[in-house]
Parts: sequence; C-alpha cells; structure tokens
Amino acid sequence: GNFKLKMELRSFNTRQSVLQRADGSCHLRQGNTEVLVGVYGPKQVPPRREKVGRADLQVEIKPSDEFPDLHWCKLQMEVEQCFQDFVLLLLHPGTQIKVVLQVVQDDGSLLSACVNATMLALIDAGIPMKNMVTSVTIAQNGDGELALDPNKQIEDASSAIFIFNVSKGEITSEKSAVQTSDINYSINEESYWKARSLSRSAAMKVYGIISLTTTSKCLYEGDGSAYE
Amino acid sequence: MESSFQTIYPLEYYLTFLNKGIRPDGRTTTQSRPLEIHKNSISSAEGSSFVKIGNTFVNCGIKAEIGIPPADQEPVLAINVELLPICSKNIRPGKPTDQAQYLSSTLNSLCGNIISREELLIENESLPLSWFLYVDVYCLNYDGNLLDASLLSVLAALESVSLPSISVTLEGNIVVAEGKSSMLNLQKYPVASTFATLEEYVITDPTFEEEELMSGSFTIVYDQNNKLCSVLKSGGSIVSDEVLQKCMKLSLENTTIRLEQVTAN
Repeated sequence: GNFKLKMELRSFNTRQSVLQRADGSCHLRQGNTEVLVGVYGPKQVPPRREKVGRADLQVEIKPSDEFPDLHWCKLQMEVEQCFQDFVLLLLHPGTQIKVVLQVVQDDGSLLSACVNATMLALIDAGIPMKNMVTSVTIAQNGDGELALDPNKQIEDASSAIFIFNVSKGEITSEKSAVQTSDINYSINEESYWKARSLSRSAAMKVYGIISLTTTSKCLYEGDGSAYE
Repeated sequence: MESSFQTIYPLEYYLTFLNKGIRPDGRTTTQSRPLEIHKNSISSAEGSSFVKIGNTFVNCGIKAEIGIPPADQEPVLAINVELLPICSKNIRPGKPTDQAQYLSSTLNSLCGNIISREELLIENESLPLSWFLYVDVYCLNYDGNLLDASLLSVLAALESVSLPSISVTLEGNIVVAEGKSSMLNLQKYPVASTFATLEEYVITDPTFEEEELMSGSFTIVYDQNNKLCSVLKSGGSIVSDEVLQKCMKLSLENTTIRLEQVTAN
C-alpha cells in the first residue's frame, strides 16, 4: 500500500559546522531520522590503536536511548569500513581521525543517514578524501515493490532491506538483508538488480544535496528534486 | 630464498601466483577449500558440530532452555561468536573484538528466521512454554573465511539438535520424559560464500594470508531454494556488476555442494 508512493527521498535537512569544539561536524535529518556527527582529527592516537604508516580511523556510535550493544557495534563497523577506503589515511601517519556519531532519532534508513552525515562532517573538517560517498536505503515488501528511503514503519513492514553506499555511480559497499519477520522470504535476483539500479539514481540525488550543502555551507532544506 | 621474498614483499609474491591463475596452496581463484563437517561433537550439548574449511576450525554448541514464549519480535535463537586467543596470534583474551561482535550480529540476522516460533513451542495444558536455543560458536583456528565456516557450523549444529520430550504436571512442574526426543525442522538453509578482491583479481574462500593482503571482501548468501538471502559488502574496492554476477553464479554452485554435506548423515 504505502510502497507504491515511496519512490522519493524524504526531505533532507543538513547543516555543517554545528559544533564549535569539533574540527568538523554535521547535523543531518532525513525525514525524522536525525543524526549529529563530530569529526576530530588528525589528532593524537591512543597507543593501542596506533597504525604503522597511516592514520587510525575510529568511529564511535552513541545510540539515542540505550547502551551500545551488538547491533550498534555492527553499525559502527559498517560506517568505519565504508570510510576506511575513502579517507586518505596515508597522508597522516601516526595520528587518529575520530568520528563520533550521535543518533538523535531513528526513524528508518539509519545507516544511510549516518554515512551521509559522516561524509559531510569529514568534508567540513577538511579531512582529505579520494572520493565522495552517499548512501541510500531501499525496502522491499512481500509483493516485490520497492520503497526508497523508508521510515521505521515501512522498514518494519518490509521483507527485505537493501542499503547501498554509492560513490560516483559505483557501488562501494552494500548490505542487503532479508528481514527476520518473514520466514519464507528470500530475495529474487531480479529484485536485487532492480534495487541496485534504483540506488544509483537515488544516490545521485543525495550527491547533489551534499554538494549543495558543502558549496553553500548553509542550511539546506528540500528533497533533491532539483537534481534529477 | 623464496620465503624471504614472501616475507618482504608478500603482495608481489602472491601476485606472481595469481598472474598464472593459481594460488600458493594450489587452488584456482574460483576453488574453495575442502569442507569437513562432524555433528554431535559435544555430547553435553543438545546440538553441536565441528566444521573445518581448510584450516579454519569452528566448533558450535547449542544449549536449549525452557522459558515463557517471547513477545512478538524477540528471538528464540541467540547466536554468539567467540574468537578465542587460541585461534590466532592477533586475538587477545578479554572483551569480544569488533570482528567477533560483527560476526555475531551478522549470523543473528542471517539465521533469525531459520526456525519458526511455533516449532519451539512446548505443547501442554498448564503453562505457555517455549524452547530457547542458545548457540555458541567458537573459532579454534583462524585461517580466513570465518563467516562461511560459522554459518555452516550453526546449520549443522541445528540439524543435530535433539530436544527431549517435555510434559507439565498439573501443579506446573516440568518433567523430562526419558528416551523420547525430537529433531528440529529447519525452514531455511542460508549458505554464505565469501570472496576477496586482491588488486584486479577476485578470489573465492580467502585464507588468513589472503585476508591480510586483500583490498576488500564481500559475501553472497543463498538459501536451499536458490534464492538470494543477502549480499554483504563493507567498503573495499569497487566490484563491477559483471563480476558480481559471476560471483553470484559461483556462490550458487558452492551453496548446492555445501548444503549436500550439511544435510548428510
């Protein structure tokens, strides 16, 4: 029912340089999912995390209302592994670049919001990167219909979720998972490829929003429709 | 002479093999290591298995406990992966590493709907009761590709689970009926195939040395009906659509072969 209408991104609301103490920061809202990211670095690295010849990238996620557990640890690792490849760590050996992600509200597509916000915060901090990455989440229901940028309600009603981190049209990391709610559901290969191609076009829109935010360094409100 | 070359220039050493289409252990880029599965390796657990993929050894034990049936979204199956210090020189005792937590979380989401809630409900007239399965996966030797091995060990252990027959007296006491037991009926058999990207090559089932050299890895999970369960890729170098399709075909073949072994005996 809801799925057919959901081929648009929710309204984006992004602002950089919101934290005075951090080297870079970003406050991002995708619909009602709200994330605040602070980037610190390159700074002194704690001895146990020191890497030879390159910087250490550490991502810490603070959930909105619970202790970080298994599920949050996985989210943290996914954001970290996504950016390991993009940040030019070799330029700052023996230092640490620390990303602190505060989840203010989770209303679906959380990993995508985290990746997009981290991207903006890293740019704000002036951390050198070899490319830009944007993230989109796509949900699929039992009938094979796709919904872009789902909120919590749609996510809970879906059978499969695809999360793609896209850089200039190339998918660099992804996670497609069948929800544990529906026992007999697995993805058909065609649905997977459909979601994959949808993610590329959606990611270009997000890319446009991020570009606008960084070039104007001011509050951006909209849904990216100017960038189709 | 050869081992000094390997130590000082590990990547170049490796590439001299890959350029000829072969890997140091004799496998081609699309071959997996031999798989060995032993079920019921732990007699004190309700279900257990011991899985070997090449030199990666994984031991899995399942304990069953009785409790009040859970509310809607709460799981009846909890998987915990532990990387013991014995398995690799990189692991220290103490708090579970990020890698172990990541594996636990991934396995929990892949195996979340293998067993239906109804399957584990205990029939009786007095109390609402259900079995809860606690799965512990221990890695005893880490030679790469832990995800594939752990997932197979969980499947094999679940296949071997033997739940005793339970009856509940009128006062609410739980009585275990001697002798009788039932096996579990698994709805889904997800099998993972992990690939690693190394320079421009894509290799199947990486060993520990290969994981140290790789630029990224991804895993494709199929189930017993040849349907795609999951594609997992965290960072790493970009994999084109064509390569992904080729790897999906390879995973499908791999899944069929591995499933035969899991469901055997």
